[in-house]
Amino acid sequence: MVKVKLFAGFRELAKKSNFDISLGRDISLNEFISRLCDEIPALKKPLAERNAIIAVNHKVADEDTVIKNGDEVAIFPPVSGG
Amino acid sequence: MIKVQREDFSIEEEIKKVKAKSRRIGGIVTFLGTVRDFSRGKEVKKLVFEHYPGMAEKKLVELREKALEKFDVIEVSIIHRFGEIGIGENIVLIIVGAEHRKDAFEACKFCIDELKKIVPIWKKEITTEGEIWIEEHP
Repeated sequence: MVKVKLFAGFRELAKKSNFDISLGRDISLNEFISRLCDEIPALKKPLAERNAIIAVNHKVADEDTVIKNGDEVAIFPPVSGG
Repeated sequence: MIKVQREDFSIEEEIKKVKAKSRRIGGIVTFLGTVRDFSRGKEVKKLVFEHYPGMAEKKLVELREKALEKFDVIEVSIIHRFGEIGIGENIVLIIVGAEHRKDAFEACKFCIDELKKIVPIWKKEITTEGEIWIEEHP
């Protein structure tokens, strides 16, 4: 199971902050994003059009990142603290 | 020392903690970020900060360690608040203690600049014309 966490604008668009996705096998980040958009169609447009940062286990991911059961995947906009 | 907390902080108390770290400290530089009432042409009523618990703290620890390594400073303390913060209230405090001022100033600037780029904290402006998540770091 992958723990998914959404923050800021993404959390508000999806109307949820946490949910789980169960994977049959390890998948690429791109496959994971498609899976995410199937689960929550409200995320499809913002993930395609807006800047999204994806962190896996607290580290910013890139297209080579592989997602596996047990991972924590967070999706958020560019940061704006301070 | 780093902290992400809802409650306000005492600058005086936090400076005391930095001073207590070493008697070699001869200069302390602080940056205090506060809420202003006007932004992007709109009147701001308050700000709401959201953070990613776990990752925000981890990034702040990394940032502190990087500053301690990069500059000739003795102690770096970073505190960022989350939740609703009203006009004029404190948002973020960075304190750097060093033997001399030059590295303390540089390390303090480095910390706030990097914090705005890499620490997963987000700011929402509640204005008289609506609410907006800020996705840039001027």
